Amino acid sequence: MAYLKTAAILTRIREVLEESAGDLRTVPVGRFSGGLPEGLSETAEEIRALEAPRIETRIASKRPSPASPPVNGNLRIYELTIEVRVIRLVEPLDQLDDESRVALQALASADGDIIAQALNYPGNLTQTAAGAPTDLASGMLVYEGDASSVVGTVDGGAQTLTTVHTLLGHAIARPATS
Amino acid sequence: MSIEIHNVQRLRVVSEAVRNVDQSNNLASYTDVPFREGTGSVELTPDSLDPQHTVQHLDQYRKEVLGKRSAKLSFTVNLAPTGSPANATNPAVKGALGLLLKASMGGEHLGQGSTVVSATSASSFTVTSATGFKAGGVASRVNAAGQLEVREIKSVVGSVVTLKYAFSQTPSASDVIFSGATYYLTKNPSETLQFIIEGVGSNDRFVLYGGQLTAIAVAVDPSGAQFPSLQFTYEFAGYHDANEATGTITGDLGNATYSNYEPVVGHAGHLMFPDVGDATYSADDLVHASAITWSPKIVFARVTSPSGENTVLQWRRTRQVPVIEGGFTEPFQGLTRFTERDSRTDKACWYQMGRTAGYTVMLSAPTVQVVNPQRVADGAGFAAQSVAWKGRLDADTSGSDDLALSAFRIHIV
Repeated sequence: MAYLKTAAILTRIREVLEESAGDLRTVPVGRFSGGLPEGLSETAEEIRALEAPRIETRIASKRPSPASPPVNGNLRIYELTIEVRVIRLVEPLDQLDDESRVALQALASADGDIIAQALNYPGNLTQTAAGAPTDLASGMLVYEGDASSVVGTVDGGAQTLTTVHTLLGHAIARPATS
Repeated sequence: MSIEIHNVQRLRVVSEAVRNVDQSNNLASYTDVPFREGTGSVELTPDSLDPQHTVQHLDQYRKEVLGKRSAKLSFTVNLAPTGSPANATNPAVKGALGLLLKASMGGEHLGQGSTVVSATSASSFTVTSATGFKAGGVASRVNAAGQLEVREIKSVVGSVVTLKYAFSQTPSASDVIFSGATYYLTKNPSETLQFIIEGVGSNDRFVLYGGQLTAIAVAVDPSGAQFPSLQFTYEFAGYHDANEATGTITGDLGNATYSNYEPVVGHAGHLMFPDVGDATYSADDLVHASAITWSPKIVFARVTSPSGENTVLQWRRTRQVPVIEGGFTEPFQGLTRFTERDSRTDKACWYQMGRTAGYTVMLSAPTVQVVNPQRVADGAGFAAQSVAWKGRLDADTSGSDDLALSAFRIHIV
């Protein structure tokens, strides 16, 4: 019997995004750093983003997959909505200079393709570096899209450009039958 | 009175040892079917016949007489591999899906892989043992990027395996060549299937016996949002309810054990459409399809007789042509498909879903003809073309048995 391997799923996603793990289409080294818990103040996020673009992943929602066999079997399939949040610092130069701002927005938008390529590649999410299986179908997620916004005001100093990338995962649980 | 949830169900299947004989006294012989929740529907039909004698009141009708029984069952199963690669030490295995495919397509080859001794090219190589490979079956290799490439076999001569279409790289000595389970069409499959469909209620149990396939539908989703699936429809010579079954099938609803079943999404794969007979690998042969359809026509009909079970003597697969057809929508890149249509070029259509041994399925229409290419807009509004194709017997294997000739195959690798 086994429950959804949510810890392995989140651990592996972090390894792929922050440590450039994976077979192919890996995230460039140093592209993202962790350390982005929910609930930080705007100022705290700006300070963290000053060091490096920050990233955090969570399982936003979960629902039974229409492809799942009936509940009394030894296999259940769930659809997971995974949210990957990336923050980049909008520095005063970016606020004042159009070219700098374009470059920043391009970086933030390109993050989506980098994340999609790494997490969509079959097998990149099959197991953690420690060998723990994730039980994600095909060892991958499906990129669905992103939404971006700037947090903070120019008058308040620096801002953050926050992008939430949404991906779909099919995760397998193996309930007990005896 | 208890009210139960409909979608809590169990479906079990067995290939009948003796046609039309209820086997429910041996429940261990059945295999649980991992059908999609809520997709199982059953019709239980005793004919009800009007004796038609005259009556003497405007509103009188006649009590009908019960006639022969029949049943119909449909359900959807994910087109899922087994999770067990057929490598040099382990043969291909099968689960419930393989049982269903074998009964209705007729042919099954459970291959075993081997290792490369030497390779003359990316499409021909010598293996340690070729006994697990057959023309029309599959040989697969993991490429330098860690991705499984699945190919159909053109011929096996001694220990030399020759592919219809090359790997992207020449195999190296000691490379593992995986085999797989191949399901193919035979001319006259003789098996019949028996199902037990069960709900939560103790008497909500029915044995459907003497059944064969009357419709099949394939659904694939190259976007990866959905699992690839097969919808099966079976009709049966008869049925027993819970009280009529030879075995005890009442009581608590037992839990199902699904074995050799590992669903994969269709996103992780590729569609190949090379010329038949051209073994040279080219990335140009990969089709960047936004939509893909496969439409097999595997239909059995009743052979009736007064001495049959509810008049059903046996089932016979009928001629339905083309037995396989399909299509895809791809970006418009020129007149290639129109030229192929005009030249009546023989093409092969292979749709591989999955990139890992043990976790891959490939649909194969080994010899097809392009018909009716049309300029369209695809789902995203891009300039595209829809390409329809129709399949025939395999023209690119050196063999004459059903496996080598089959117009449609399902490989589980």
